[in-house]
Amino acid sequence: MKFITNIWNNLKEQPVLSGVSVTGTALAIFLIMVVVMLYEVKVVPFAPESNRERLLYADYGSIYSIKDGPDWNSNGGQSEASLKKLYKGLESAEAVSIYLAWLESAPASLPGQPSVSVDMRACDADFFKAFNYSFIHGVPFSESDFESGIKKAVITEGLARKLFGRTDVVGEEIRLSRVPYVVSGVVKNVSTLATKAYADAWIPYSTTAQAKQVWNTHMGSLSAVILAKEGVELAEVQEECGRLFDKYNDEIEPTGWKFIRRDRPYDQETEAVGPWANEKPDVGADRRERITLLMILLLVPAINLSSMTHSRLRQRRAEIGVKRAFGATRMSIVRDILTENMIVTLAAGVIGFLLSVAFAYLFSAELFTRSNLILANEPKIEMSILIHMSTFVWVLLFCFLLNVLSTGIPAWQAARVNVVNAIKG
Amino acid sequence: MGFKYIFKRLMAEWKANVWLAVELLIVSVVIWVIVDQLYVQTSRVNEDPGFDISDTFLVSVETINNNSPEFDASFASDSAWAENRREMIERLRRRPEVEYVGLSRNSYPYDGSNSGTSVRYISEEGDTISKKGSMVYRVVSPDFIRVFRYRGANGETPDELAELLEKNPAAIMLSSNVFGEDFDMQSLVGKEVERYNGEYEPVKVSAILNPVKYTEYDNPVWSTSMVEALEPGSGWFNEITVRVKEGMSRDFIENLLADSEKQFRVGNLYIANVQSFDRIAHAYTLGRQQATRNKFIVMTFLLVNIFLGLLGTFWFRTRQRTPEIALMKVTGATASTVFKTQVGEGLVLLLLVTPLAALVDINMAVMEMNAYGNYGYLEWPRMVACIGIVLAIMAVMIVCGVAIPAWKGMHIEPATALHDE
Repeated sequence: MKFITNIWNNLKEQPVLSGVSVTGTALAIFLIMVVVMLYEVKVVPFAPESNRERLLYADYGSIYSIKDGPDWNSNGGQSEASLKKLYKGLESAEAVSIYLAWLESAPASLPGQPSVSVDMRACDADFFKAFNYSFIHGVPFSESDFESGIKKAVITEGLARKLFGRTDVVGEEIRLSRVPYVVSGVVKNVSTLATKAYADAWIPYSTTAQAKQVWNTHMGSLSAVILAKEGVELAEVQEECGRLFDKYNDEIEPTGWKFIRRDRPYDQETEAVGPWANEKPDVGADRRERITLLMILLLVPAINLSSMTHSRLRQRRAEIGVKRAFGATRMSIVRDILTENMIVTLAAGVIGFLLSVAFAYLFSAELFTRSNLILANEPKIEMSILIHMSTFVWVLLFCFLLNVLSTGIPAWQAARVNVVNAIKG
Repeated sequence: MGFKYIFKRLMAEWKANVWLAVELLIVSVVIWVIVDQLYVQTSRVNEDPGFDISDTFLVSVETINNNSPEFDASFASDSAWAENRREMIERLRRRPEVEYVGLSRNSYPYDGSNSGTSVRYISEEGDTISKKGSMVYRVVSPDFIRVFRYRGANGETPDELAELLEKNPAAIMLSSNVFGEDFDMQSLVGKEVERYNGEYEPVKVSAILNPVKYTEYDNPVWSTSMVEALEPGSGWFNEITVRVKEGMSRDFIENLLADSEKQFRVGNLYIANVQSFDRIAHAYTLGRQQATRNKFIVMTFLLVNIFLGLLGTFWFRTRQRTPEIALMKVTGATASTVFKTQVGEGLVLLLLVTPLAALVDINMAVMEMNAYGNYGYLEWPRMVACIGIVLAIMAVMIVCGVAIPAWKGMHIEPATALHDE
């Protein structure tokens, strides 16, 4: 307690300098944490994408005609037959789901009623194993529903409320793109930030025409997502994918086509960089860019704060001199100053962190909306999406770095005071 | 209060000033990178994009499939479908607020899909000039040109261009930058060039267009394009775009959708969606807008840091120098001289750092680490302008940061300050 009182008194000695230091620290941690959150939202697991660490994505495939050579390649969704051969047989996977490569914007209505525009995902029954939807009522459509092309749909509670004014609507009929579907389950709303799991309604792709389109013999309009078995390394799954890939290429050789791997399927981080069809996303470049930005956001305030700390310590030369005279080593003085400042940095860091959370809530639409897509819903932020164990680790880490960078050199200089000169005055 | 005097004062505090100088240097370079990008982007966005999306809309017409109870098998044939589409477009045209209805393939602005082609020209002397690859190729109806108000390089109005397209459906129009800046494109009007379509085939040029960019953010030098007429009467188009009469676009979407069940259900066709191009443009360029916003946030953050850094340092300095300032005043310095000396210190520090920063900036441009302008990374007029802008913004921040402590220094009472001496 006395320690804290001491720190408080030291801060009060120089109210302007202390105020500037605390503001500078809070501001730095605030902006750093906004950058961290913008990134974490893309990679850290949250429901229904709670298995992000175990997921692998094969959004697209790449193929070329052996006759023309690999320079003329075609990239995009794949056919059902290809995806089944490439991924469905994986032994290291707990579930492999195939789904229509794009979200459809579709009119949803009750028979004879005006429609609302919703985002609709056509998928198979395994989609509900890969992602953890929380069902309020009912169940997903089953494997056999899917196989027999029965028109069942899962919808969100939000859509159920819009259409029916209530959520217990299992067994009711709705129209999606003017086709009647029976509601088999109602799930909690899904944030648009869950990029793959998000939709307002899910239907079996076996009930749509687009899913059956095939071109270049093996390409089509479908994608796949793989949930690795628990405890299995993703690298292992990717290796097995490689074996199936080579096998399939041998099998289709007589058709005159060959798939290009491009290291697919991708893990969450790679997928988050950019799910492009015709090249592998450059995870390294993305990391370098982020680290450069964080370095700038850390270094500039650190220099700033260190000049502030330098000034503050100059005022305490006499005190440090006395400590040295009584036998304190330089290291112990540096350690004391660092610890003292760490407490201040942490306090300011907490303010900065709270600010960043408030900022993320207030400006969620501006911060998190994905470009190129016109979705029916705005991105919704929840604590479970924004804050994880790792978030706190980052706050601590950045506070620590900021403290060492900003106090290290001034503390060392202060500890080197000439005892006689320091206490002379 | 000359430069020399201020410089001497700076040297007296050199240890603290080195920190400030290093901070100013880093911030100056980072802000230059941002200002440079924003400079290029702002000048791009302010150029004529070659199209006009005000009062325009995209109408999505979908076909009811045979899973729906509304499906009518008597309209299932291809010919009935094409006939129904023609009728749908006719009805859109007849709607009172609609001015034009354009039909096209992969052509509207901010379209995620596009087609590319190449053309070449063999002059009378036998020289081949060709443009390969990235040229965007738009297949459009005459009214499409009126919807997006394309303009000719010779000052042709959208109406004149549309008439040219209608009268010469076999000819093409090329953007004025297809063969580079120096080539006299107008000399090609009425002549034949060769376009690639599996192999090169001759085709007549009916007009030269102002360059049509893909989005306002694109480099005009790279935005080369070719326009071809949609085969008259052809059903082979995937886009229906609409220009609404001026001032009538406000409730256009709501009204059209409200009437769509009664007036726009033709055969198995229905209007699934209507979007304004403002919204399409917003969604398409959102990534760019977010990047711009992030740059502004980082820049503001760095400037606030400069402000705080100078405020803190000079506050401390003023306190330390209280006796010195008091003496200055006693020896005849006015309050304003005291103020100016303090602010001058900050500005001289900035002026000392700027040549160093400029060296780093120029080096970065040589290493192509900055924004690409219209013709390259290192463009001197842009370089000078951006360094000037950075200098000005930072000077303002420095004056703000130093002003508060300096103002305090101004009001030091020599009698109180020197009381102990």
